[in-house]
Amino acid sequence: MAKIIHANRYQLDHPSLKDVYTQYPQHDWESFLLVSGNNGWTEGNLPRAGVNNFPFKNNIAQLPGFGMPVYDPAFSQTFDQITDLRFQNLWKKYPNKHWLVLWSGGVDSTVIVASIIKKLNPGDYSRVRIACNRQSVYENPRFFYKYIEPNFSLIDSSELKYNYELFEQYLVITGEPGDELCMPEQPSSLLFFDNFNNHKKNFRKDPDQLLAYISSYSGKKTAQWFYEKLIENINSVDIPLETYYDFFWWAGFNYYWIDNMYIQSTWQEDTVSALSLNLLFTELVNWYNTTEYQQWAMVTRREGFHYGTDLGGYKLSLKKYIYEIDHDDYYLKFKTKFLSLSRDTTPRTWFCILDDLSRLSLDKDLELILDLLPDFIQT
Amino acid sequence: MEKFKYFVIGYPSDSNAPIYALYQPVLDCFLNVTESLELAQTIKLILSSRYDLHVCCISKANNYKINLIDNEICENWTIGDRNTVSLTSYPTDSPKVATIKNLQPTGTNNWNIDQEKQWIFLCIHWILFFKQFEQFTYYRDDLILNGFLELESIGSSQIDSIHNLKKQTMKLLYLGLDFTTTDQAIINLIKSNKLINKFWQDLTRDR
Repeated sequence: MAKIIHANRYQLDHPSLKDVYTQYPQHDWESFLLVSGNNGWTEGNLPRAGVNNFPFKNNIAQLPGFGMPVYDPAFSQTFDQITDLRFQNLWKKYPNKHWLVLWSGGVDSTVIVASIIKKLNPGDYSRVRIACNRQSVYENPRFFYKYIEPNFSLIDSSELKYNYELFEQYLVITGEPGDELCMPEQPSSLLFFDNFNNHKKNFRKDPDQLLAYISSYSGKKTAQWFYEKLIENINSVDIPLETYYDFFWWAGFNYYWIDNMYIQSTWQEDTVSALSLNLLFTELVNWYNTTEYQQWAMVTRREGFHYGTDLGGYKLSLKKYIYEIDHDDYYLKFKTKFLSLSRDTTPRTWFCILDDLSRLSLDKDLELILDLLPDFIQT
Repeated sequence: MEKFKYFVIGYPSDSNAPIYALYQPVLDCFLNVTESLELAQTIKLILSSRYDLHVCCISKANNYKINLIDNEICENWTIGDRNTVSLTSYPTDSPKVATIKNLQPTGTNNWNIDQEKQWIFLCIHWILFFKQFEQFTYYRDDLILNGFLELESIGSSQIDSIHNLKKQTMKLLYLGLDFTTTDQAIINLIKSNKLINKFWQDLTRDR
């Protein structure tokens, strides 16, 4: 019998599922749905590591490429070393494939292009194409005009179709899940804007501001519920997490990584339907999904690496890598996050993924979903 | 003598008119004040190649006074209620205006703020220079009508030359970094165009 391995958090509050949920009163469904859905302050509900104290089983975390590496406090590779090596390994691994880099103009994908410029012989630039759109240019115009337009041929990413032919032709590379390496941008208003010292506060001893912040999104009761759930999860792993920054970083790194791994399939749901999710999982290169990047992220959660001395220091190590190439003081000092206009990351057409990586939708497959859902809920 | 070339005080001509300020969150200060929302939004877009600017209405703040903030001292002020400003934004979300409830003095920082203020004055100067052509009927009509008719294959040499020069100027302002180089490049462009050079010469002679 088929098994659900992942449910779309945006459709969890569908009325037809309510009767199933009520059979499991041990879970606080009201809080869980608030945190998981569009109104939540955070965007993930599937822990990769530690105790899973949310209602759903995290079967998808067991798939190759989704897990979290073991925390290694002695890990010493620098971001630059890891990035250079990432480029070299991929270039050697696929000697006959052209690269298609999805460039949004943001920090994560600009690191990829910077690594190409740093390490690749200009004579080989013809093997690399850049997929972008006008918003990408608006996000990082000087880099575009100085490094991308003169060196690489372009593909309009707004017209890009994820199909078999595309993966046949190219090694398709994204800047995912770069946002989860450091910390999701959203809580930076609390940590770095309201008061820069907030990020150093201890989330166990002094949680008031942290709770007030989460409450502003989801209400006091749900904020307390989520805080306690996350603490329970944190206490079950062997990683020293103490500060507000650690708390929010862990929420993204542990709970939202998986969502970002298949985020490409949600941006272009209609065009990805002809392609099995399996092909997307196995062929798409998510640049930051490596053991080394994750281990780097786990040991460098401090000033000078994940962040700087002001709001513009977000993802500082990544920005310094780019700066080595472009020497753009403004991008280094001021670049903060833009939401990409072309990327609607809300999956709408499907409700869940099954263990054969096929997907079911509530309008077409409701009966089967109602049959399979109980087995997906933790008892 | 004024500290900045192209300096404008940003002081309200009408004491009841709303005043807008351009707030930079990393520097945590205002970089310019103006009465014109349209100008503030245009500056925000042109400067988006450097950093985020948030258009703030400051004249409704509870401690705002008519002579409190102008372009000589705007960098000494910041918003008092920061949670009214979203930190993430689209580069093109210019219609959004944050209404500031409270203003407060800000601290110092190690970035060259004068350089940023000077750049904004440069942008304002050249944006307003090209804005003046809109007083001419042919130009104004073409701006609207050819916006959707797209009759580029049938030229109108005078109007096209203004359009083209404006485009080149805006691109220089969007991508430029150095004040002197960029300003001179724009002046050279204008000098190379007979029609616009005459207009520019008349304007500078009037000063």
